[in-house]
Amino acid sequence: MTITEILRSMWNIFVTYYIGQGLLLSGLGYTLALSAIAVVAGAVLGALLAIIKRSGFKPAIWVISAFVEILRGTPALLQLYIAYFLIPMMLGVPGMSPFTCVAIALSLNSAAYVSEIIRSGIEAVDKGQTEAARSLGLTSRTTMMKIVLPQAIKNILPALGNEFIMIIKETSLASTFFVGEMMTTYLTVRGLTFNALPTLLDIGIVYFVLTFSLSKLMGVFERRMKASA
Amino acid sequence: MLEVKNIYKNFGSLKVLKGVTTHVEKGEVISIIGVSGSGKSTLLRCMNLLEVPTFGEVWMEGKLLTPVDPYLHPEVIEVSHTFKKLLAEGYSREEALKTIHANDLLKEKHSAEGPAYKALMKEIYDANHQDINEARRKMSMVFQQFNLFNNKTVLENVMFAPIETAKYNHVKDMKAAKAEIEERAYGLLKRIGLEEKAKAYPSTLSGGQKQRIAIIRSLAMNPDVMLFDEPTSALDPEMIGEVLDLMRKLAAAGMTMVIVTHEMGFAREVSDRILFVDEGYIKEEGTPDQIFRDPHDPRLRDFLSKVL
Ligand SMILES: Nc1ncnc2c1ncn2[C@@H]1O[C@H](COP(=O)(O)OP(=O)(O)OP(=O)(O)O)[C@@H](O)[C@H]1O
Ligand SMILES: [Mg+2]
Repeated sequence: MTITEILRSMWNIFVTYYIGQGLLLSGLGYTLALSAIAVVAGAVLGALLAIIKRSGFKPAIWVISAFVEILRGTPALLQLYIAYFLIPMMLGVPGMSPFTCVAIALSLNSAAYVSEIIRSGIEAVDKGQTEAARSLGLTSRTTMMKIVLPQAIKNILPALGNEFIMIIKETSLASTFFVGEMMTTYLTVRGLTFNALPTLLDIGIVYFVLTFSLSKLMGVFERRMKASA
Repeated sequence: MLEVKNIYKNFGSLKVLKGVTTHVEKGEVISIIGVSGSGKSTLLRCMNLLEVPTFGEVWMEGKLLTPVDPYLHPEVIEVSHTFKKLLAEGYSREEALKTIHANDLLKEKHSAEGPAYKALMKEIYDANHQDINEARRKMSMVFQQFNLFNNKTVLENVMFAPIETAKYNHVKDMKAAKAEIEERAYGLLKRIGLEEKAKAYPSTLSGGQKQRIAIIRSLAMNPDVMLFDEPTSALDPEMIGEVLDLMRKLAAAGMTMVIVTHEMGFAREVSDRILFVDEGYIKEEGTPDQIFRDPHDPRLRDFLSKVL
């Protein structure tokens, strides 16, 4: 196959299958839905973990630390496989859809990373800020909510944006379970055309355009945030 | 007004304070001097419990800020198992107390001293303690690194703690309270000639401006005591004067102040009493004249010969 042939196939496959049969829309839809669920649920759960960890209750800290370390220290694909079998069993829902399983697993995975993002974001705020607030007789709660967190958020949000991009790429693992996201469409199209390489290149372009534009958007957002004090 | 009773402070195995007792009277200006690392900041920070003393008690206006230290209450020791055991072994009361002190025999943390002991500890605590946040509102601190709130404007920095305090106190008319606090904040800013910086963020200010704002942020709480931890050490030389001037005015106006400082001339000029902290103790204590003209402790003499 020459370069021109590959380019032509890329174009044809894109027009016929991705536009014509709507695979671009459905693939992107699932990818974004999975990523959004994982990042939002992950952020909420991750914030919760970070808060509990800061409360200083020892047994809870151990459990959470173990959870975070294990999820960060094992491959996401392995976690998806385990979740695929374990979650329906644990929740007592045998016929649970692969999409739900994958969404839960990715959320837990992202929670582990987000809790670390929040922890380090808070720790990056100068200790002097807390000391000044406490020395004026403010409660630890007021200090956290009105002095520390508003400053930590400036460290946390950009990192959360990066986490979102990481998750978008990670959702491709869900194709193992034929969930329907972007990477799954590759399996579909390859089955129809028996032409792997151009399909993969098409998908690569879609992922890249998605993550690249998101990271540019975040860059603008970050500069705005920095400008406002 | 402020009493520090036999405080010890350990950081892990490092013993920084080894039994410090002192007091601050209303209207007094006290300077704490000593070599770097001698525990001056630690002593100051123990006064408002930014560091919790390992042993010993801090009292403010007759209220206990720290947990109860059994070693300071013979009546507590006398109901402990350890004390009773020593008596049974034939010790006299005085000998038993001395032995317990010398060998640190009370295990109050291991709750092995019996119910009477615990009950008495709790009784003393309940009868005397004050919430630390309440106490801190009356003894604000000024830091070497200013520590202005980065996410707030100058005016918000000054108003923040008074407003939150009004909320804690469930002030009914918050709007009126805020207006009053704002007026007061502007008044304070005017006093230091920085009204036009009211809407500026701390990052745009010079060190001297930051520190003077940190001082009026403390003043806005109407404190009974102000604690200063080397307020001019992080400043460029040309800005030290403006901060010391403001502190001089406060001292002249009768503010009670405790100042950790390396500015010997200033300490000599404004202080009623100077504490020389060294090797975990207050090695010498006296009026500026006594300390500078007639120092007794050899380590103090050595220190003064180096800094003067
Ligand atoms: N939070 C902490 N953890 C561990 N060690 C500490 C802590 N704070 C202070 N120290 C140690 O305690 C000792 C006394 O410190 P401190 O800050 O009170 O000294 P200082 O007299 O104020 O010195 P300087 O003049 O340099 O400010 C030092 O050896 C310091 O390293
Ligand atoms: Mg110090």
